Amino acid sequence: MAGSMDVNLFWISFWLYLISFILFSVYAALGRKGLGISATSFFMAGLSFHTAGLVARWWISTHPPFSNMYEYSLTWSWFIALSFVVILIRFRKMSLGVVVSPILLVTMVISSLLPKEISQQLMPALQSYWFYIHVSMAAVSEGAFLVAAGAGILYLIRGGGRKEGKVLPSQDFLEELISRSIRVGYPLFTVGALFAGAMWAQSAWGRFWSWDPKETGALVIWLFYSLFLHQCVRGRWQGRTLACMSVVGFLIVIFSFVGNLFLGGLHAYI
Amino acid sequence: MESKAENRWSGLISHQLAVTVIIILFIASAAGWIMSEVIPGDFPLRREMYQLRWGKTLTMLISKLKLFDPFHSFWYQGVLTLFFLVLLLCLLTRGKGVILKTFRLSPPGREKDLRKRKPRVEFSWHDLRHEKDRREDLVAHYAKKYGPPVKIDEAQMQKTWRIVEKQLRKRRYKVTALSGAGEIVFSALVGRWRYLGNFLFHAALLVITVGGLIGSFWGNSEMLFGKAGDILPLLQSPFSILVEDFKIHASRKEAILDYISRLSVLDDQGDTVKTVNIEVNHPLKWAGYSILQSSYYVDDKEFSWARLVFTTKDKPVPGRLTIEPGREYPLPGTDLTLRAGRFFSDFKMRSGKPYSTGAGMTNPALEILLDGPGGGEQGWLFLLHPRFNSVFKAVERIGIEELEPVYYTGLQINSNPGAPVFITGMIIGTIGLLLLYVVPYRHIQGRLDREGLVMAAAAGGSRGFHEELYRLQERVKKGCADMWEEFKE
Repeated sequence: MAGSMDVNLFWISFWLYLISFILFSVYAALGRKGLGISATSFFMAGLSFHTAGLVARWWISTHPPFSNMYEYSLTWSWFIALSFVVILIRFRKMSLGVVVSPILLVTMVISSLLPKEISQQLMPALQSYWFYIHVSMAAVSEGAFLVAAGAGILYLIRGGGRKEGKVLPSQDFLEELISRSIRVGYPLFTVGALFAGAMWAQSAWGRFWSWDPKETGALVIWLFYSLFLHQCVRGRWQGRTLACMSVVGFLIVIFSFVGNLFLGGLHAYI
Repeated sequence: MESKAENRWSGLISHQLAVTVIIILFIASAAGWIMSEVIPGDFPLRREMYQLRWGKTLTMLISKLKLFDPFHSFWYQGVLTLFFLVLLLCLLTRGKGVILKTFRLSPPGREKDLRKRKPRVEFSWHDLRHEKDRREDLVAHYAKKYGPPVKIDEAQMQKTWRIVEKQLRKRRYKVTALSGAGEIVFSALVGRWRYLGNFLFHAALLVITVGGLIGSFWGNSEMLFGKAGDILPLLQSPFSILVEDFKIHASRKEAILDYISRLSVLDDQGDTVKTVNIEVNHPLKWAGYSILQSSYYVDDKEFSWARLVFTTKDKPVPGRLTIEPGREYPLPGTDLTLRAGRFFSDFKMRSGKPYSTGAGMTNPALEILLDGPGGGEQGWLFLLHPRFNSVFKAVERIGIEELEPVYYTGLQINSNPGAPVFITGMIIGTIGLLLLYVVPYRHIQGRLDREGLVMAAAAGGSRGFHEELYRLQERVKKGCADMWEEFKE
């Protein structure tokens, strides 16, 4: 019974995010500020329940909620929601919710399909302080990559000139958001997913790198975003290319995440 | 000829080449990632079977390209080597310059057109002079705007430069400038440590590679299994490891919570040097070796001890007897003797012959041999399914109450002389990334001439930077206000 409390909170947050998505869409279509404020309010309420759900799961399981794919995706979507709120406070662009809320819903639908059993005891390999560093940093960085992809999608569906629209933000703003999100995500991913992961692998499995499917996936993600940053510095990827590539990058991240279900290997904590 | 050679050299160390190599490595890694999942790992062992299924050509291609283990294939190793050669070349050719840039501000380059840069602010003395006249009629306004340029003299330009420089230094910019005929080009920079960060991060990738190479060439790894009491050799060292004990902690639902080995390090004389408990994530480090708790297995034909519970016709109160393999026990209250026979951790029967399917404790069964004046009896007792226990004539009821199998601890013994280098590389990389992405970086290139001022971001630039440039421009304009009064007079 106690275990289902976090799942109930999860579902409440899901429905609130869904309502906020509908309201954000209507806001984007009609441009009425009241709708935007209502959508944001529902989103904030969703985030509150989401946070409560995470805290409840942490409390019940007695360990941070990222020991399996369900918990990881829940934490990951929480970082996405939080990033949106930070961007909202900083830049006052409610229209970003049109993209962030459906992506959030998709990740939550994926979460809902995963096994939700709570284990109070971490399996031996996860009983390490590297667990907190490695997984949380990977979740934050992948959340940042998703924010970039969201801004990229908005850039692509927005079209038109570079000027700021009535509701939708300007292309310059979206480009900057993509670039900044990846600049936040890249170092966190490098240090958290790769370096901390290698350190943990050395103490748990006796080797820094094993060419495990998840490790290879992380390498592919890292190479892609390294390429992304090099091309940005050179000014080669701008505008639509930048937006498209932010989406491509995120598809790789999603493939690596979902790959746990069928790729197997040392990281198969389903 | 010389210029051709120079071109080739600059091509070899260009950013374009680095990007191309990253693309190649990305494609190779993605292909290897997918291939290692598509091609089964047992391909080299069952080549004939796959040849029948996939055909000769495809099987040969997979074998030649080693697609069943792509990351250890010649083509992937080649791409990796190329990547690190380009990285090395990049660091050797640009490293010195990048480090110097951190500690010594380079003179500004004479950029032809700063007006293409973004973000950018600019104003002309013409604009500044007519700013107050914006409300006049449009014809007059545009006549002045596009009329002859307003130029200031050299002294006024120098005075303006001092204002610009003061404003930049106030914002902690390091400024360098070059004065030429009627113009001053300048470069202002905040966050020079970013250059060092860039260098360190790239250098770290090389250091990590060197660490990895040292480990793969001079490192050793061995998997050893042993039960309590076994002595295992510690690779080529004079030491050996005595397994004192091995315990598995499981939850009520049989989930493994932890497994712990108690180990003693013995010297070449067999004396105990150190005794420790090791568990997953907590290895023992000794004489350059890491001894890791890696796995375990249950012997499928051995058990440690079993506690039996029984009743006889004369004694209906259940009696208990703990037995160990290879020993004979008198059965209390009877004139029978009992000993354990075969043990199977996962009992199965085929053609009347018992066998064990694996090392799991799925269906533990123990053979019991009873001897007495009336002759011998033999039968099987099942720990998890007592209803299948054999029926003995000599005893009313007998079963297994508890059974301890023989656990073998799986110890991974590693020696990796490249580990310190690898870890150093990761530390350097983390410092590099911190400098690269956390230290605020602003680089302005500007030109002040007798017609006006332009300031632009040297590379990239955010909305915040644009706002800063705008504020800077406003301060300069304000600073020039007094001068304009003099100028008008």
